[in-house]
Amino acid sequence: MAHLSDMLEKQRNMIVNQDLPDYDDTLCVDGPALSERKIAIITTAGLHRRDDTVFTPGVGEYRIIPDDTDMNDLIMSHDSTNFDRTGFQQDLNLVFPIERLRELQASGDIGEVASYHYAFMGATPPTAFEAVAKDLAGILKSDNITGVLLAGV
Amino acid sequence: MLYCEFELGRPFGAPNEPEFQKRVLTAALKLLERTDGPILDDFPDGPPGPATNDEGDIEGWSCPVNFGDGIKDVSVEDDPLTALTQEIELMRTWHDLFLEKNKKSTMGISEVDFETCVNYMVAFIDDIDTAPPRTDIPRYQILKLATDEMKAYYFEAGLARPGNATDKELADWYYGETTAGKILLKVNEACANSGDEVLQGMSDRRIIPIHQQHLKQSSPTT
Repeated sequence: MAHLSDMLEKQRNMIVNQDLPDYDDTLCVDGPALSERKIAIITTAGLHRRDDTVFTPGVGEYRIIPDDTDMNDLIMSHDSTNFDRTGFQQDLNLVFPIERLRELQASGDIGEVASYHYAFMGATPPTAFEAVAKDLAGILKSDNITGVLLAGV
Repeated sequence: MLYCEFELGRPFGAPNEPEFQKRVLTAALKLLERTDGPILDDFPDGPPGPATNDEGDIEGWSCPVNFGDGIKDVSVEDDPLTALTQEIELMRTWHDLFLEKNKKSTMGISEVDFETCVNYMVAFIDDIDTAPPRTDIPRYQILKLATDEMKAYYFEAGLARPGNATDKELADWYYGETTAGKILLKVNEACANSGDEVLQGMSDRRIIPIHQQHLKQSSPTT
């Protein structure tokens, strides 16, 4: 995570002054223990399978990453040049910790790894995501997902 | 939310550090069991390994071939395509080694072969209206994907070379010392001078990253 103070003025102003929607407070709710939860990953790293369409800047959209995907075949079409990709090039788990999640399932620390994970491309206006995010929330509910790892990049 | 003092692009700390990654992941998932939100917890530790955002120290990194201005008598100013192609060929051994070690590549996002991407970028410098290799997506997008393709190739090749260069060192080398970096500066300049609002927007920081913006001022082409 970056500090605003470390950013160039132009980038800092863009982030501080961006148009953000207002939301009511949402209270945290009780749920099952972590060891009983079914967990999906949602990344903003712009990841997708090689055959998927690349992400389009400014468009609110996501890609599906089935859990049985050959994870070595995931590529990144994120539009930004301003974050490190060498870590991802060496180890997918640095941005999309699928193997770590499976290890937590094997050790009983979580209940289950979801059958589907999801990828967005950050650097997109939040309002552009609203409709698809609501749609995806419904999909997660219907898939009995009880925990989501929101992994920014 | 779990706040981590990690570099952008490295949300779980460091590559090939499974135990550390698992600590971060567990700390984040444990927040699901809390009901006292809103929550903003700090992860207590920085990532293992060398700092990735330190000032580059390229002296510690083996660079067996001088890629500064192309090889033989071909300079990027006189014959950019030949200079770039020669450099890419010289990097191929290292890129092959990366593929051998990692059994994967992050290249391929443009859905166009690498040579075509290279040819297009170089042609774009002289004529922004050069026919793009894909017409099913906007020109700016295939241009951006072509630049990302080249970046992936060089960074993967660089990662295979000895010395464990940090990403900052790799970026300083790629943007500041290679022929590819000089080509990118020229592509960036062509976008800036194009008169096309979208391409001009790209020239802001979507070709040359924020931490390399100083090169735009020091480039003889800008």
